[in-house]
Amino acid sequence: MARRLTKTVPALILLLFVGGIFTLISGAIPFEEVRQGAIERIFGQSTLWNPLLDERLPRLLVLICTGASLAVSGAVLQALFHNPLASPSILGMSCGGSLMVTVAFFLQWQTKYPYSIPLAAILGCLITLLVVYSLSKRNGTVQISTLILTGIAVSTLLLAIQGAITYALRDHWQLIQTLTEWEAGSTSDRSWKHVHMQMPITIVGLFGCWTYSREINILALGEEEAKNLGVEVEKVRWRLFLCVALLTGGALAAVGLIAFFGLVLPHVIRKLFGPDSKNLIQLNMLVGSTTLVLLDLFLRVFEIHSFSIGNISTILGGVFFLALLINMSKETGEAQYA
Amino acid sequence: MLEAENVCFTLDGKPLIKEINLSFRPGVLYGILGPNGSGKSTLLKNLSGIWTPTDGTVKWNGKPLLTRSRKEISSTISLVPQNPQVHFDFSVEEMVRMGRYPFGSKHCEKETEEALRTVDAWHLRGRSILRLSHGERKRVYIARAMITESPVLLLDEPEASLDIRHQLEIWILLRKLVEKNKTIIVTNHDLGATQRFCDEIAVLNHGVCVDHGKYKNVMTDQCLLNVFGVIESSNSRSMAFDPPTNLNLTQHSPRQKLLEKH
Repeated sequence: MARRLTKTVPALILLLFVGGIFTLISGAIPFEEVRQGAIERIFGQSTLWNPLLDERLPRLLVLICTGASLAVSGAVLQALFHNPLASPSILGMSCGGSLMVTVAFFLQWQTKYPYSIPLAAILGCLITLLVVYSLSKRNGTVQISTLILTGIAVSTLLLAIQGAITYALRDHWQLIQTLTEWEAGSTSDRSWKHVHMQMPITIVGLFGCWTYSREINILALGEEEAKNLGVEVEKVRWRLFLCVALLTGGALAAVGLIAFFGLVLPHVIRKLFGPDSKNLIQLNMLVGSTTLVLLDLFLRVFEIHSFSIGNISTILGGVFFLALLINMSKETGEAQYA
Repeated sequence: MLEAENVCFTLDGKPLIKEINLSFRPGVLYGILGPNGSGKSTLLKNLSGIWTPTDGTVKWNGKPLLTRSRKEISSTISLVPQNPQVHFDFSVEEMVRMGRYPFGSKHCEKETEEALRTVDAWHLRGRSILRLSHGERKRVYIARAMITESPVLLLDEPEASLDIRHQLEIWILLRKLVEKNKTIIVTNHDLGATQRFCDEIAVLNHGVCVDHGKYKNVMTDQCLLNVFGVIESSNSRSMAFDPPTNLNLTQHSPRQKLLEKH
């Protein structure tokens, strides 16, 4: 396992580096022209808008933060609920954050307080996670089936409320357009404002998860086992819930809804590299960032404008989720007849 | 010394154990007997601090156990659960290493190897815990409890799913640990093994401790009839368990050395 990791981690860093370079150099304006403008800006010879510094670089940073955030939050949730199907979207966190962001847009908070969007998203994610967790708990334990069904029920309810709000706002076409673009998980027009909103939150969230990687491993054995081995279960779980809400809320505020990303990648990585959280967190950071950067590059290079990165991710993730469910039900059936 | 003072535990309005008053001294191997659902596992979970008694107190050296931090409790009392659910495929080595969490030490290769060799599970170290049989899994959990080096070991039916050889080895290991002044409390259903290896017993029925003390004083025909609904025939005791006195473990000499060491 260690040998596989020593090869995989540098390979992923290299792939992310190459993807990042292509993200920076690809675009409608020739790179030579962009580079010249960037050098002039850096040395104070110009104050003109530059695609490399003002569009592509912040976009790349937002993509890296978002990919890492969603993949790591999925991995942590799967361990906390000891359930390979847990993810921010399945547990309704994305819908909760999305509803709160819609309310913030509706009340025009972002015009007065630019940080109100990530704060609303984080709050929405955290409240939804706590509600789903509390509703799923029976006799002190969280059942897998109850958790998923509660997540789906809460998501449906939140989506209905959000739908009602957007329907009531149908005459405000500018606001509806902003909301539609944001909900689709668009990466266009990302600026330093988005980087400033997301990056500090992501760093705090990732650092928190990394710090608690030993506890995450033990919590994956179940609550009683974690207590038996000396983990302050309630305290650690609260802190990890907060870290996951920071990561998911930050990604949601910066890019919008990217469903299933936090389900598919952690699941695949766990299958390939085992369940040790220390490895999982670093691998999910790298694989999540690289996948999102390459996906965005693919859409831009092939000029696919009909789909956003959120649409593509949802389609691929949805197919994977179905395959996973079918495989799990087959395994259960085989076990029954064995 | 570990003490249970009037310990009661109720779940969903149903009392599982009622007013348990027991003291567990160091250097003594205790057996907890009782029919299924009599509250044996509930008592162990309360004694280990995993469950909080709804009434009464568990004390360690005169002080309430639950006033200590979780790490302090885990470095004092270690529980080997009866049938733990595992959801992810951690390796055996990873599972055992988790036992060192209360001590904060990440590098414990030597201790892990020693614990795994003692329970004859070193050869399983790289295997996924999900791919082990119940008996093999049990041995891994015992190794994890041993690596904590806690003075109190609670084992919930440790011999369940183990073959005869490994049952005997576990009992011999527990006796050696008792000689090192550890307090060991074992729940089980094997009267013969309890009689042979345990110093004292406590009998639970419907969540109440009906009696405790030496096996011969407690496990009378009247007690068997009241608690289990049977009377032990004069020869069934010897049929139930009569291990050879000169048990030969020379096939695995490194393990024997470790067993002797413990």
